[in-house]
Amino acid sequence: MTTTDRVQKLEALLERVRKNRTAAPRRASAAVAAPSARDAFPAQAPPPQVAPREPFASAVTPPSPPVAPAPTPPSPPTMASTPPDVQPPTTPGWQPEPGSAVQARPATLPPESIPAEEISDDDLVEVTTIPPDAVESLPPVAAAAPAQPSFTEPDEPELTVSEPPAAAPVVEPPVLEPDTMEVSEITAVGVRVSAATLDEALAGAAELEGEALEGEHEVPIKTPPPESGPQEALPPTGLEAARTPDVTELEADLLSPPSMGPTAEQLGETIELEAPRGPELEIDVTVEEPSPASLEPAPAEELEVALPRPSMPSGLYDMTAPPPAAYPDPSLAEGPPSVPEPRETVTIPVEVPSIDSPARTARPALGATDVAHVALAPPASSRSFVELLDASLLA
Amino acid sequence: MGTPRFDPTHSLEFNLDRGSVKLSGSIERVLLPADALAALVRGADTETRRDFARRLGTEAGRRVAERLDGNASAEAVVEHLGGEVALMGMGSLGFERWGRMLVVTVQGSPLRGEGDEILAGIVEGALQRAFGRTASVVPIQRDDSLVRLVIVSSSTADRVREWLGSGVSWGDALARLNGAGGAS
Repeated sequence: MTTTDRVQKLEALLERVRKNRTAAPRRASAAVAAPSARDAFPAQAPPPQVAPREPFASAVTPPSPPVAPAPTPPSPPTMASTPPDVQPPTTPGWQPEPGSAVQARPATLPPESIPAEEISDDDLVEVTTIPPDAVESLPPVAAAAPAQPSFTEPDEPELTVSEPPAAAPVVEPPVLEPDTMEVSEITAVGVRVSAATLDEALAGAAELEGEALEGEHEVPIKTPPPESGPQEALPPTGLEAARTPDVTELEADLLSPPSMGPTAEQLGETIELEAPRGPELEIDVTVEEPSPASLEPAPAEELEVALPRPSMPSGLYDMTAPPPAAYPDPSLAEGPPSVPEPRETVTIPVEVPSIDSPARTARPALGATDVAHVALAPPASSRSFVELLDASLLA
Repeated sequence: MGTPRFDPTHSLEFNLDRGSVKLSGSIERVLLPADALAALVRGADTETRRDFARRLGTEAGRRVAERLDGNASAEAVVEHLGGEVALMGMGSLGFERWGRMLVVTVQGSPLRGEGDEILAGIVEGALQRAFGRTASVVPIQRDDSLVRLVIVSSSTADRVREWLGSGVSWGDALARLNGAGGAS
């Protein structure tokens, strides 16, 4: 699809959008359609929380008669021309367990894989309401089909529908006519909500462009919380749409049975090689065995040291091996002797006196002399006892 | 001429036939228990005790004087007088000089403390009889086996007794006697 075709489609979509706008003058009226399906479970759904899969649930199960009596069978959406090949993801209806007598019905029917989450107003961008007149203009075959949120056109690639729970803001209670049949379609532009078909995406892109031109207002892209699970990115719109890869082709490639070999386009032209000419060349692959002479050690050169034999492990020595050759005696330079040489001894004859006539020197004889002089202590008292007695008596 | 040595050979004669004991040819002696003599002395008055003791000393001095003259040394006097006291069985006699004061010591008296005045009378009698000096002997210190007796004049003896009675130690008393003697 070229850019020109895409522009033409966008223009066509723009025309249809304008037509829809003329049919639905107020945007707020579209919000009325959202609760219409929700009214099937008014008691269980609290006002701030909106069941995300309610539109689909209402599409699978017909609305209950008292709340939304449908004298006419539900009409398909306007853009659905042929029965869809792929059924939209639906949530199985709630059924009570056979063993339980009383079992509360769940308030919401969230998908099993995607947990319920809070949705702010930023997630909702546009609500398009299709008037019943447009529904009646559809062929009966298409009108007999159950109401589904999105379908794919045969000529346009189908986008995967992985619509997260579309949160409906708190709106006024809808006022519906008993026999009014509206097919609501909520298209959310954001990260978590994607269009069901390419037409819807293009329509949304056109509207966004129109709004951007009018008020220079861009819808901020809000990063979904991590609890929202895997999300699918919306296809780029505007000028960036040209760079978008063709999803249909990619899907076709994925859906095609795997081939064991390359395709013809991949192979290209096969070129047959000519037969070899000339003499045959043989590669000598014979393994050259080492000659026994190579095992013998080469003659040792100068400054070459023979390594130990590889048969012995490192650190071991062959005890049976002969000892190495003795080193030659070093030739030392003549120097001063470190050890003094023994001096020559001269024997001097000494006259030894004969034993028969010894000449002895004797100490001269001393006469009888008083060697020690003892000084005797003088008598303590030379006086007689009478003198001592008299001295004592004089006291 | 040297001083003769004290020779107690045959000093004591026991005549068993007569039943008498004689000392160096003197009059008869009586051998009696020491505690009995002590009890007797304890019961006698001071003058009786002093007279009793002086008589014993006079006899000992007479024998000393027979062997010693007036120039005899102190050692000779101690030897002979001491020998005579020993023959009486009253202990071992000796001399001490504290300055100029002459102190007589008696070791092992059998009468113990009750016989100190007896010993003092014996010395006074001996000195009177042997050397012709009138002296007063005052006990100044005593322990279990030794008694010290100072030889003083009669007038000084009363002061020494007064000092010792007032609590003056025997050393201070000797010091005072030496000082008083020097001063005078």
